[in-house]
Amino acid sequence: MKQFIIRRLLIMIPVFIGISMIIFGLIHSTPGDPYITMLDPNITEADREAMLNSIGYYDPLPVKYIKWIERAIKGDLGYSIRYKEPVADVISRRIGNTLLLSVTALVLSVLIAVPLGIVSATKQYSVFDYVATILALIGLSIPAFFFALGLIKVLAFDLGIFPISGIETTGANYTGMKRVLDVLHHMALPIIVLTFVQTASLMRYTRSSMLEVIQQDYIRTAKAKGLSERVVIYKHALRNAMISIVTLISLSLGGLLSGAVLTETVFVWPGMGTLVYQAILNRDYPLVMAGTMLLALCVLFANLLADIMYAVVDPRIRYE
Amino acid sequence: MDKNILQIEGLVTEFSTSEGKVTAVNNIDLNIKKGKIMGLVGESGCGKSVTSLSIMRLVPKPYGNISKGKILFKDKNLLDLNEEDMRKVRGNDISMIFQEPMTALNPVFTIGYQIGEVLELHLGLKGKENLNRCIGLLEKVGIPRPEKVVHEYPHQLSGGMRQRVMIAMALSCNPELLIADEPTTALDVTIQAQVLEIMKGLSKELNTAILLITHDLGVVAEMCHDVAVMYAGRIVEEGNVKDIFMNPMHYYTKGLMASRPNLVKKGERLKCIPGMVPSLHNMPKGCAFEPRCSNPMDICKEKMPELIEYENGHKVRCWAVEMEGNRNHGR
Repeated sequence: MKQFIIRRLLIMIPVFIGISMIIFGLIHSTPGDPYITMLDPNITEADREAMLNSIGYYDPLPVKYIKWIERAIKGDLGYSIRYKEPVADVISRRIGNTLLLSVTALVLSVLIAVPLGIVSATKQYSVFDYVATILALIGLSIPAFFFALGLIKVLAFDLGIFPISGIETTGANYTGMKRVLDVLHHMALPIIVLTFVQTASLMRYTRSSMLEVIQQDYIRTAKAKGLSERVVIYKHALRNAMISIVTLISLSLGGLLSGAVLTETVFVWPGMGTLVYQAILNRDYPLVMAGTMLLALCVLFANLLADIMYAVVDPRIRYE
Repeated sequence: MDKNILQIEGLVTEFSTSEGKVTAVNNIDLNIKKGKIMGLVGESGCGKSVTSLSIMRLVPKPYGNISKGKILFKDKNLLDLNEEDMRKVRGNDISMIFQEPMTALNPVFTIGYQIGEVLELHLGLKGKENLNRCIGLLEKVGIPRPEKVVHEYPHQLSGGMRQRVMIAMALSCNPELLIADEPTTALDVTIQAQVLEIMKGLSKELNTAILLITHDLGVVAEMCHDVAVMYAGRIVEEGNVKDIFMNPMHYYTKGLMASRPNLVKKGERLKCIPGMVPSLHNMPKGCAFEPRCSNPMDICKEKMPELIEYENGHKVRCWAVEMEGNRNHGR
């Protein structure tokens, strides 16, 4: 197992370099000049060319890439063109906000979806199952941004229960407990949107894997042993259904940093999703590079975690 | 006379399907004597497995339903028990082993855990004592290195070993009745013999009665004291193993005996019973075997014959036998 993890980590290095080359190439082949707004419009064409030359704007792509990766390895991710400060600073300011939102939503949806899915499966075709199925189908088919706008209209605008957007009340400068409550208040709507959408698919998944497991022979064996329905379902069946559920959850961790671009945009949540999206629009190369590479790293680690978790929950899987 | 450990009286088990209600087990009477091995023989789909699941009250809900009858275990009707009392019977007084050892064990728990679970549930054994008993049970069913196997997972064992584990699990609380639903069908022949030998030996040692469900007549001859032959949800012939094999009376049983491959000489075709088991949706009005019978009569189409006892507890459900019996009686 230890060897497997080390080997996987080593394999990740060339994969990661490959990803960085592709992203770098794609970003730099998009048309447009990001420096146009940076420079004084009154300088002469020759001065402008000289300045662009000096920062390496006209270097061939491989040279640019090597320069970037040299600095990146040393921990220097460059200087954001738009924010005019180091990329690392910009990202570290935003990443917490995104994690706050996505981790909370993921935890909530696991806590809600798994029990609901189990009950739905054990009481298949009951009223509960039908209601849960209908809600899940709504959750699966409604676009997140539309649901978000609906919530803003009803809960924030009409009823005024929640703030419309942002992460805290601007200008209030709350501290301590008051600030925590203020952020929680702002979090509520985006959390509802993200949780609802994730719960829907995870619940359907839990339901179908439970249904599959419940029909297995070993469930009949467990019942024939005289075990109670509770032990049969929550120990013998769930432990098997968990194999695929845990894999799905681990894989979804990869989307934690990027999964909520639309929701973040609608609620003007200062997170990674909006940051990278804005950076792409502004051709803020260093920021886009760092942001996307971070997301790629997340996905790679999530895949590794999924493989590890798979072996943890299923004794038949052993990595030699 | 031996005391009955299990008496089934007029058991009817129905399934509701999209095409309507079907009767999988139709008015079955069956007695299993204490410590004896009873064979239940028949083709696929004749209701053998449903009978066994009915005894355990594990007929899959909500489609299956035991609608009539009594299942008396030591003179108390299992069908009257509440779910909690029934659970105390399962795995403790009556236990069961299944056809497919490859899938009947839970893949994510160790052998020791799965056997230990029964010991803890019914006997309250915990910890070291539980583990030692598990190892002892594995040893009893002939598993080599039991102290190692107890910590292994089902996928690390072969089919024969897994079926031994199932037997160890089923016998862990010294049940008075073991229901074995085609326990050797999925195993290869040499392993079959070993597994059957273990079951037979333990039955004798622990005085456990066995209801052995099979379609292998060789296994029946080897193992059983009594046999019941089922066809399309009903028992068509019942008696002790010698009578059934030496003097089969029902035409279905005769057909089964004749189609055993070991009676065929080289180059000769295997004998078979022509036709198919009637669909449960579309049962003939009279005898269900009439369309395939080698001696059909007019009355067979019209009326289902009764299961009638002849000599020595040998019961047959057949018009031809009944009429002949009457004639003999009249003479």
